[in-house]
Amino acid sequence: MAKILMKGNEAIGEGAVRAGCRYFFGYPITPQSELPHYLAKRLPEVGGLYLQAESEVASINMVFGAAGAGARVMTSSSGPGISLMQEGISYLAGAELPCVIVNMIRGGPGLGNIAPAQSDYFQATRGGGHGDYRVLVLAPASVQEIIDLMKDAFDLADKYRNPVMLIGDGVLGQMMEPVELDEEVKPVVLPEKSWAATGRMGRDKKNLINSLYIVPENCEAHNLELARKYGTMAEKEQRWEDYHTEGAELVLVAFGTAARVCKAVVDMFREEGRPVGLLRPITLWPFPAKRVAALAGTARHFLTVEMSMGQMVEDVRLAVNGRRPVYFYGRAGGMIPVARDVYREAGKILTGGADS
Amino acid sequence: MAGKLFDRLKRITIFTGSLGSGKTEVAVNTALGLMRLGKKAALVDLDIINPYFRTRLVRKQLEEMGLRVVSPEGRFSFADLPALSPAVKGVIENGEITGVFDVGGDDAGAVALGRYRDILQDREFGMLFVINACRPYTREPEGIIRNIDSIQEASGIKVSGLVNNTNLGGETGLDTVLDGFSTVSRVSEMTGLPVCFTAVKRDLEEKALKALGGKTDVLALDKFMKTPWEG
Repeated sequence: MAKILMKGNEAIGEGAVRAGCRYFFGYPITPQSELPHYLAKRLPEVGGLYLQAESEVASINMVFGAAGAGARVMTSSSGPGISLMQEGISYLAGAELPCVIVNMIRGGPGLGNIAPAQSDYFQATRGGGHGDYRVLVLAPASVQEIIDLMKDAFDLADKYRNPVMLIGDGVLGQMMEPVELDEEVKPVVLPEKSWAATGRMGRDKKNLINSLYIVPENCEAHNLELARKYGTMAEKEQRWEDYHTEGAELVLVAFGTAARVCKAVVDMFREEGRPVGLLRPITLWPFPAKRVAALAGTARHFLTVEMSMGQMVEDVRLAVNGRRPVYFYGRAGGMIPVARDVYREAGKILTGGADS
Repeated sequence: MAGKLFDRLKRITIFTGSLGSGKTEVAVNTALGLMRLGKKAALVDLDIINPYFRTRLVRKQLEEMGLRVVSPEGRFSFADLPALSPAVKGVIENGEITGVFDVGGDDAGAVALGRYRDILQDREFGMLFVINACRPYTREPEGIIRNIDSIQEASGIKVSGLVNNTNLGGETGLDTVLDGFSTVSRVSEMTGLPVCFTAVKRDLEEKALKALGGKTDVLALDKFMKTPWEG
């Protein structure tokens, strides 16, 4: 094993290579451009293909093609580019194609800016494109976790034949942290994809990659089948990290960069011996509702902290289901919550002086 | 302690290096060191490629410490535009100013330097290549030399010395620094470029001086580029 100092964006690329991904199609946008920059060098070294497409619309449809042929493939962008990809993502979900899509979120809406944000939570967790579908969403909070989750992202995409989205922001993408990596890239045994369009090769039936179901009965059956699959994912794939939640009177809920800030806040309270903890969702869809519901049995209050005007807080409220007050603190437009401000908000809740 | 190191620097010191090699921290600390020795120091932010963790984000803090910072003004400081301040030329041309240049990473970042190649040629300057041997693509001398070549080609300027800035962020130990020094020394043997100094975080300064004393000067670094959750 070697210790290497990596940027988050580079780690996404290296994590993908280690997970057996050999195809990347994308279009540059800040704050994720170090990722295509890295893969443009890295993929040819392992016999892979890096291609800069003419647009995000082209990128996602190239992903569709490669995924349909059974390859491990990914693309990446930031908010505006991910919005352009939504039609393609819906087609991928409809045709049940596995792929990994990275969104390093920036300040929005519209052109917004290039500073870090988490305001694409709704877009990521509610589908984003048209139709009744879900994308599994992973939210790492450190560079090492990015490396580890990239492997899981590709495995989960193949397991459920569904797009998986990994989200972060410019801070996670551009900061550097040490990671542990094997010196050599080990060969990855990919799961067999009997459904892929790789040529008929003596089979009875053609493999078709399709999301068109003209007959309503057939389209409903397809939707029911997808819903069953999403139900399994929601049941089995919820992931989270508990940080001092045991015995916590106040539980902060935050993911990604905001969770790193909240860890510092929890440490401030714990040093004073005050019962504050953090629940960090690692999967945003499925949201770790099980864990939040369990904590609602022991904690007295929740405070959701986001780099948006309040999106995940809706999922926290659904999971708490009115049993406890759920407060919200957010910064937007590329601003990051400052630990002492979150500490002050949390302090007001603990002493009974906050409005929910 | 590092006075000797600063005496050896030319009037203009340009820090280049691979993406994420730590040029900004080295440049900021060098400029502050020169200022503390009584020089009229100016720190020039030429980073046109990375909108995060660059000098202009700590401009106010540095200016409060008394350091002059030359970077795009006002609202342009947050843009990912390849914009350079007209004041850059003034720093090069004014013989009374000691200039420290922080250039963007890789050949893509070094392109910005080409703009000043002609006026630099008549002045006293040195271009130092910052190396972190724990970063991808610069862990071995061969990769480092490839990077030096591409930066020289993009900027049209020759590297005149090497800086060992090998670190693993918060997990840096003395071993990390010494392993890096041995890699950088091999680059020095292969290219004939001198190792100008080794940069270490301040709490490793004494140990590094003890272990490397005589072989290289040591510059102690105070950290300026911080994540939002660092104090």
